[in-house]
Amino acid sequence: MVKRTLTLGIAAVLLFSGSSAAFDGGTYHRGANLFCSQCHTMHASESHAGLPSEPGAYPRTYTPQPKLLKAADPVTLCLTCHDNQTGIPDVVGADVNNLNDRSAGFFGNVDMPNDNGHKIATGLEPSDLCDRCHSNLPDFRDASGFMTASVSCIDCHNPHGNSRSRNLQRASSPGSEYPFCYYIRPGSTGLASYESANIGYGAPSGMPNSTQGVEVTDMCYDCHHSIFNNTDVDTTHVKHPVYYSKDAKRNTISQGDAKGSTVSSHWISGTGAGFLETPRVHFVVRGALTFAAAATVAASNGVFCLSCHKAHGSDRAFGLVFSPTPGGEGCDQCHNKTAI
Amino acid sequence: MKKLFFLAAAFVALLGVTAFAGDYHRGATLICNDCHVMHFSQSHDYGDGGYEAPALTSGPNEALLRAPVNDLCLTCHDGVAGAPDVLGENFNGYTRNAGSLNEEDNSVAGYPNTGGHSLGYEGNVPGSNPPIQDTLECSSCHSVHGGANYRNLGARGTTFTVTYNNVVPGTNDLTRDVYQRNNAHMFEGGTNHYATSNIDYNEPGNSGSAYATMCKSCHTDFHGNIGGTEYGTTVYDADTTAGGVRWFGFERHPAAYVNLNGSTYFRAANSTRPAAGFAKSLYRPKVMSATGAWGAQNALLTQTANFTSDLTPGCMTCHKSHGNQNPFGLIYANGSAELTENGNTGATYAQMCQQCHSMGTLLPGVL
Repeated sequence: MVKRTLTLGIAAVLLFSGSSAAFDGGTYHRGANLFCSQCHTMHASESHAGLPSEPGAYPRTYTPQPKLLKAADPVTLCLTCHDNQTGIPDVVGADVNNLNDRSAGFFGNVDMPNDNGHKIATGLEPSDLCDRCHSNLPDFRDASGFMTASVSCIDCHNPHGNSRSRNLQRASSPGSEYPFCYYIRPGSTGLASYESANIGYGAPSGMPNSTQGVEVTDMCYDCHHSIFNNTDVDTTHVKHPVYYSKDAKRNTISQGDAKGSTVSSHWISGTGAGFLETPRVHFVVRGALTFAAAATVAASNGVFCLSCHKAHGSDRAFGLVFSPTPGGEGCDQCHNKTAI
Repeated sequence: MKKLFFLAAAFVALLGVTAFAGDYHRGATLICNDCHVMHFSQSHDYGDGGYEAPALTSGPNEALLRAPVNDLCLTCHDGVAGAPDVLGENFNGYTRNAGSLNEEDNSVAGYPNTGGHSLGYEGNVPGSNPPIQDTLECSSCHSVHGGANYRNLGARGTTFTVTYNNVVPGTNDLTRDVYQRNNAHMFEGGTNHYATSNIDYNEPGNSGSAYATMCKSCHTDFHGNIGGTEYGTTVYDADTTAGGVRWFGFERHPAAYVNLNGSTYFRAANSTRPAAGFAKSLYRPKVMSATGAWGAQNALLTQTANFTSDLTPGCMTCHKSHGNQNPFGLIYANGSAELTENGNTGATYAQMCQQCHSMGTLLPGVL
């Protein structure tokens, strides 16, 4: 098993081609890196490997599954490689690759409740996406299912690849997504391209979304739309602002300076409260078209979903990237309340 | 070389025989002493001007064979002018429709034993149910004494029919399974009898596949009926609004019944997904047609004459029946040029899939 895992890892590393190009077009499972037989079997039987990247013992037989999949459920199939396989991004629990900080974090165990991020589960169909939260459709006001809703890998990722970063797709309407303003540090290839520190986020600055892209926020909005309903009361937010250009919600950290709710100079300094235990959180840079631009710290930086949350999850409640207690660690990177 | 020349000359000498309707090794061309020797001793030729088998070597052999069965067949069918070459590189040059066998001991240069059917293979037959464990011989698939089936096909212990237009050569009979354009055999001077360009597959009744049924005689679980256990019992009729039945949820890839545009995943020319593959390729792999309208190679399919509602993939769409140099004898086609036995140069198996399927971004070379 160790030998197979190692071989898989080597094969995967060889095949990965991280890219610093705009919109990270080099994601695996697409184009020349889309290998049908990694996930599908035509006759539920393999007398030998078809590809060098499919090592292990042969002959193999599979229990025939719909869509010719090699496992009964897409999640199970994805995790065949993406859990505990050296050299392949590990998205569940501890990281077998020992990355410092996975950019998307990690899920809990499959089919188990997860207060620390998205609950990943089997038995889901893309067609039941809305029903998972809106349990009593057509009453869309009833979102009682949200508390226990689950996700499948293929809700957010196109298993056959697309031209989007990480093969991200809008869960409700795959194929309708714009490119994402998602940039990888130049030179970061293979697993390094999954390190949080090697990812930068941009936001459009008025150019067409199809060319400049949109924030990754657009992915989150697809399901978590209610949290964007931020109507101020007496000029005070009732929900934390989230940068989302498509709704003309473009916050900057400096916006709170006048009222003292934020301290942009503290954010820029990168030291003291909020930074003691937590590396600088992610932010968006309007108009950034490169990793360098997207990594530029300024008072005009915007806060978005991934500033505070890991897309998959983390070891903290709500998939937060920092511990909110004591003293608002992490929050204080922008707000600096502990210093008051 | 001298030997080869002699053999070729012997075959050509048989041209005196009037072009006949069936395949060789049948009827008037079933010549006992081609393969058998009564006493494992032969002091001279028969002297009748016909083909004379080469000198005896190893034996005596069971069934009075001149050599062990696979060796015996390869005496003529490997590297001999005038007889179809079925092992390794093709001595006769043309693109073989059936491709090439290999040897289980990996003794055929360039043709590994992962590239299709391997003579001498003794393991379990993939997909056999109940399991078959037997040595793969030429006679596993061909009736050595001939038969009515195309290419004398006949698997041991099973009955099936694969018909072809042997009654009226040169005319396609849509009620028969195979259309062979030129019926002049190699021993009759024909140069393309076994070539890809000479053969296409009909689909009598617009359903089923005689060829798949034949393959199923060994690879039992790989082929079945819609709704059967082989393909899955929960195959859905997903969309009948487009004027046809569309399917998804197959648990094994269908080898009959499902027309190209019948798949939910077909990459149609007018698809919102990038058009490519069959509908856009000048060169296409073999599919079955109920109307005989496969479309000419080096020309696009036309909506009216031979579009995808008539064309049905079968075993030979993806595989060479004997094999080739690719894993599983797959034909790596990308539509860019005339297919060789392996497909197209530099193509991948994913591009082969994309000839029909729309998944994924287009790969280089897929038109």
